[in-house]
Amino acid sequence: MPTSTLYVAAGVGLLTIGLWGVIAGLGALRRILAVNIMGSGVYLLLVAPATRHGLDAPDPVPHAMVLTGIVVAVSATALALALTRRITAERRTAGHE
Amino acid sequence: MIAAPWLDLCLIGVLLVAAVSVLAAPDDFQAAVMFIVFGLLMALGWTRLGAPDVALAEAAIGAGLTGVLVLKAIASEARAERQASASRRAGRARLHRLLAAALGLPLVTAIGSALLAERVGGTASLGRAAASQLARSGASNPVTAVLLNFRGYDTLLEIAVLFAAVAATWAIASRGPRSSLAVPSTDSDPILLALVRLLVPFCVVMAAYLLWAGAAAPGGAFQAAAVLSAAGILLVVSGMVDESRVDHRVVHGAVAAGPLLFLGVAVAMSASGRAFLEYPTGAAGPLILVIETALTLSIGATLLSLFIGGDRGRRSARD
Repeated sequence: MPTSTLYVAAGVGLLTIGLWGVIAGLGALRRILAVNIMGSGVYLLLVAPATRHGLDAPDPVPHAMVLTGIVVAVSATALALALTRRITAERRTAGHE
Repeated sequence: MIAAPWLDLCLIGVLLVAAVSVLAAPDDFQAAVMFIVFGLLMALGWTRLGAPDVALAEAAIGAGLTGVLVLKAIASEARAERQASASRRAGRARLHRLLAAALGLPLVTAIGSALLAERVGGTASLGRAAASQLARSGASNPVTAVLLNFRGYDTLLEIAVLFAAVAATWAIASRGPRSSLAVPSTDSDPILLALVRLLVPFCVVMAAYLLWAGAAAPGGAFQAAAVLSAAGILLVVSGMVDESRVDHRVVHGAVAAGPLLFLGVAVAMSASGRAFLEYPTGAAGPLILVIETALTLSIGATLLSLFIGGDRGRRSARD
């Protein structure tokens, strides 16, 4: 089995685990991490097929796309965490009243 | 690539176990630590796939910065929320799990079998096109050429997304009193301070190297910016720099400088009769270096702002 197929399978596995984590009713923080795991799965699905045999060098276009994806993912994560913090603060003040 | 399928199989096995233990860890702190482990294993996977640029970004941004963001979120507030909502969640969890199985399994099976059957080949022609024009792009690292020349508008939009994320973080920050991010007992911890004094200059030199090397070797603006922001985070967390005394006009300016300069170049190019973000052939190399330098400083400031959060900016605006 070629390496690229192994990593495509790994990508599908990570997508499954992440999807489970998003839907399975975990806390907000775990769900944010689960979305990140799903993202890693998607990146593997983008990059792994591009390293097939027959090309002299790996295709740089999916690499650049994944680099962009990682940076966008970290900013989305930061925003999600800020939203979580705000929701917690609102709930806490609502509970005190 | 070295043909060692057992190595890849081991790595993939550990990767999947790490992903499961992020979600199954008994408390959030362990989940965060497992997520950092997961990110570093992903970085190893990227090197196995011949993607060193992605590996660097994954280690610095995916594992490092995301990890530190999550750890900060746990430290600042998670405790109270977890106790309050744990009992309420338990009842719904079983329903959610059923739903997850019912929805997720067919979906993932479909995606997986489609991909394994098709062995996606659509991007191969783009790879050849990129390779054939590489000499004219102003960078000999193909990934940098794609990011800043061939698909520069993707990167421009990416910077816009980062900018929007920071602006939104500033906007939704809670108004309540906040504890400082700094370690409380810094003054009495000479080892931490000595370590930070050692690491910060190293990070700055490393960032400069990654920026400069990015044109020809793995590296580039994003990796450099991540290392630069790590230096800033170290300074803030160790208490060597008091975050409340940081001048927010400087931070806001730095955050805005990258997208503005990139957009300025794009507009200047289209004003001089070229396509949007089409560089003149001879000047592509220097232009890319200028844009990358501005982006490094700007993204570094952006990532640091994402870590610090919005409260400080809000307060200084009111002062």
